[in-house]
Amino acid sequence: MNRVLVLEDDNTLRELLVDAVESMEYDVKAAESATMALHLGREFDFDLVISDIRMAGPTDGLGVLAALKQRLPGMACIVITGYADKTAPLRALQIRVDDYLYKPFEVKDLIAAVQRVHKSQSQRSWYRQVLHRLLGQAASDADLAELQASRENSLKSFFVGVRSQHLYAETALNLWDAWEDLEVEYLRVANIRVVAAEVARRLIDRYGLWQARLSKEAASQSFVAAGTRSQEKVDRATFRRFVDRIKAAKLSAEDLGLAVALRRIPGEQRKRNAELERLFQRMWGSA
Amino acid sequence: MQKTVLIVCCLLLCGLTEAQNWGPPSQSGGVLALLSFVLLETRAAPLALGNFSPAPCWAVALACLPQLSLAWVLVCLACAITARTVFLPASPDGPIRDAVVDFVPAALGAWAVARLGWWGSIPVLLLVAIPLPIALSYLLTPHSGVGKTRASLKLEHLAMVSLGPTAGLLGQVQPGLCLLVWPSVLSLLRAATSSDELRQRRSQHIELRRARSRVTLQEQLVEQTEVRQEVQQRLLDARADSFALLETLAARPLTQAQALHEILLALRQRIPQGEWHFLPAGEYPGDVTVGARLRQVWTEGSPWFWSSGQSTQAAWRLPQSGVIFVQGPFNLNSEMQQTLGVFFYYLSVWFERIRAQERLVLMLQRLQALLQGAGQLATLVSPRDILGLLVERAGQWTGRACAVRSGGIQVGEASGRVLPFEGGEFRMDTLDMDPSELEALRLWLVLGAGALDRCQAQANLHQSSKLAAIGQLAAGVAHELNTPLGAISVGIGMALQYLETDRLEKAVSRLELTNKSVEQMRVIVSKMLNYSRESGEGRRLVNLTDILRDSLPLVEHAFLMEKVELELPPLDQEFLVEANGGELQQVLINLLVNARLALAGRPGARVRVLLGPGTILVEDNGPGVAPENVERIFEPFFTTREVGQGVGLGLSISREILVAHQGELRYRRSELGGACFEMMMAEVKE
Repeated sequence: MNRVLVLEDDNTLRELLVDAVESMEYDVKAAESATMALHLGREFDFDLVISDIRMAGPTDGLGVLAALKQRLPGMACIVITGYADKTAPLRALQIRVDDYLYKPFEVKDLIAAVQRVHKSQSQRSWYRQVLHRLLGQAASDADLAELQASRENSLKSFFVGVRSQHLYAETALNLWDAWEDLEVEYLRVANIRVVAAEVARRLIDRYGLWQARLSKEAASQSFVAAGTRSQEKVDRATFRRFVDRIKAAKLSAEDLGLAVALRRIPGEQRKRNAELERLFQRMWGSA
Repeated sequence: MQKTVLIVCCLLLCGLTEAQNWGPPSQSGGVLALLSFVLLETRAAPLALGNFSPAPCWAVALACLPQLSLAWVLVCLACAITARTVFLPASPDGPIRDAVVDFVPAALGAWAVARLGWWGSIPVLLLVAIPLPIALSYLLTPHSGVGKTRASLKLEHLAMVSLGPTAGLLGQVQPGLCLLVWPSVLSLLRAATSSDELRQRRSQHIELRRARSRVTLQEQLVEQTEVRQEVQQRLLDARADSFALLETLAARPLTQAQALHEILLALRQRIPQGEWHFLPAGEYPGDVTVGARLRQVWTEGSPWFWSSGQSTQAAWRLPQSGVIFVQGPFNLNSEMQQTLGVFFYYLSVWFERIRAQERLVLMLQRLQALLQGAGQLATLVSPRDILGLLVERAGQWTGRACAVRSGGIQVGEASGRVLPFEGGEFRMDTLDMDPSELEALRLWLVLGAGALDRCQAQANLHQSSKLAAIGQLAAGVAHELNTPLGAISVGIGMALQYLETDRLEKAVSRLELTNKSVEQMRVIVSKMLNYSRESGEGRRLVNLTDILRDSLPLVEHAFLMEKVELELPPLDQEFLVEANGGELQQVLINLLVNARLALAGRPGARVRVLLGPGTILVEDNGPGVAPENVERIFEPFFTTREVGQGVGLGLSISREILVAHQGELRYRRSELGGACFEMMMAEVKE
């Protein structure tokens, strides 16, 4: 990953963004309009696109991203915006953007986001390994791979939904409760050495449904009260902290994949492993 | 009555004849005769002698008296016959004839015997006394007697004829005895011979007398009824007349005063002798007694009549109006009194109706005034003006001083009753005030309070519409500000990075770049400030081009985003108006935002702004306003957008703003195909 496209219609900001990303030693191309971005997209294979949403022209930033992603599905996207209409978060979730930054942001936010996205591919495989190690799972087969992809996409959606502030904390908690149920299922399935195809398929469908629900609630910015708290479910204060950490980009989408598992393993087992303890503290710890 | 007259007549007659013919020796006999005659005729006959009339006996007895001449005897006969017919109209066929038959032969026989002696009288008796009754009865009483025998020589007659001379002789010797005995004998005779017949006669007499008295009674009754009917008719006529009068008057739209005038005229026509007056309540002229009487009539309500021979005074009360008084040389009979009483009663009922109508008219007028006032209230926008109008009108309508205090504003000075009023009080002296008037006043206060409320609501509406407009702008402005702000943030971050690595020139160039963004922001913020600050302040001379130029940065971006082409006039012209720039800007931005929303998603969307002297035109090529909505677009809260997309205040407030500038906001179809809104104000020429 070394080629980045910056799409921004404000000259000053574009120049500065290019400068900032260049300082991270990437090969940066700048586009001042959607047309130009699309043109560049046909010429180069970008690994990352940093794009504004609202701009004049035949299509807006998200349109450009969608078009570019069609050609390069593996391309990462960071959206920066000052203000966006209601449909923006929904579309952002649909095209699976990797991060969502609100203007004004600081350089270090941007650098962190770029680095996180950059890291995410390797991170993703790393987390898989950790999970497997944790669960004592053998190498995944094809079904499991699709299942994992679906799961990771769901997590990304949740991450972007929270980051773009289109989910209320309470709504997010409600979603998270559902997510935990899914995770329990997933962990159970992942524990079986040979997963039946239909079991994986069913779980994939459930991930799909969960994502759809998330998109809908993010788009309508609806307020959904979460169910009553029980021993098993995460309590509100802890979850609030968790959400704040996501908003502040202290946790990445990949980190979320471990969140439930970490919360579920017994404390003694966790404390014996220093790495697990550190991860747990990062996500759920009170400090 | 008849009897008394008859007796008196007989007495006179007797007295007269005695004075002429009777000598002293028969004086006692004559008097006795008369007395007995009277007694018998009046009382004794029906009592002592059964059903027999003593008159014939009398006639015979009298005829026997030697002192009596034939003429005198005939007179007595006539008397007897008369008495008989009067007292005992025995025969239903003919009392006189019956009496003649009864008396004449007997009397003649007695007379003849008494004068001529038995022998001398035989021829007379044969010639006269016997055939005469037969002839007479044949001629005069064809159905004489109960037996209905014609020409029958009744035993009675024969007895009388035969005994008549005996009586005559007895009378010559002892007239008194004769007078006493003779009727008794005769009556006994008659009773013996014809008791049944007599009884029948008697009963016939009684029936006849009853029948006669019945007839008399009936006649009297008929007479009385006629009189009463006549009276009734007169009464009815009079009443019909009075009702006709009332009806003709009621058919005309008269006030009470006019009606009274007409009534008095009519009364003067009908009773011209009387002086007719209407005295309103409380005014009672005349002498003390009449005044007191009139006062009594007024307080008690019953009519008053006073009559002294030819002159009459009378008064009637008309409730709630006054007293009708009449005096003059005429007679007011009971029918007229009654009729007039009824007339005035109905007159008062009618007056009551008139008064009710007048009250109704008054109330309608009040209502009309209220409505007019309400119309005026609706045009006022300042609370002080509204309170002023409130007090002014209330004063005009009631003719009383009033004052109102509300929200720290005091209008008018007055004391009296305190009526509650929106956020304050209303004072007025409501003593003796008509309840309906008070009600109208209350209604007026409610209207006033409503107008004040409206003022307040309007002020709030202005404010909220401004906020809504700012909210609409905020979306665009947020982007406008966030982008340069982001640039500044990144620029500073970069500069710091460069400084850390001692690349000073780079850092400076980043900071200079940032400066551009700062300038960009300054411009936007200053426009925003203009927009918000100028509203609510006074007017000054502004250039419409400046208004447009200042508005553009706030909306331009949205036009760009929505791909709506914005066609602008040259921005170097000068069209001055005296206005509140912020408010005009609000209207213009509102129109531009509306146009943009109407065009959303249309290919080739275009908005054209034109400037002219005192006018700004905003046209678009969108769908325009649907014909059925054209009338309503300026109504508050009218919106065709979906719920949550707008409250429908923009155009109504825009128009209000222009009207407040003595201008106008008009809609028409644009040449471009869509809507065209025209802001028009008075141009100011330098």
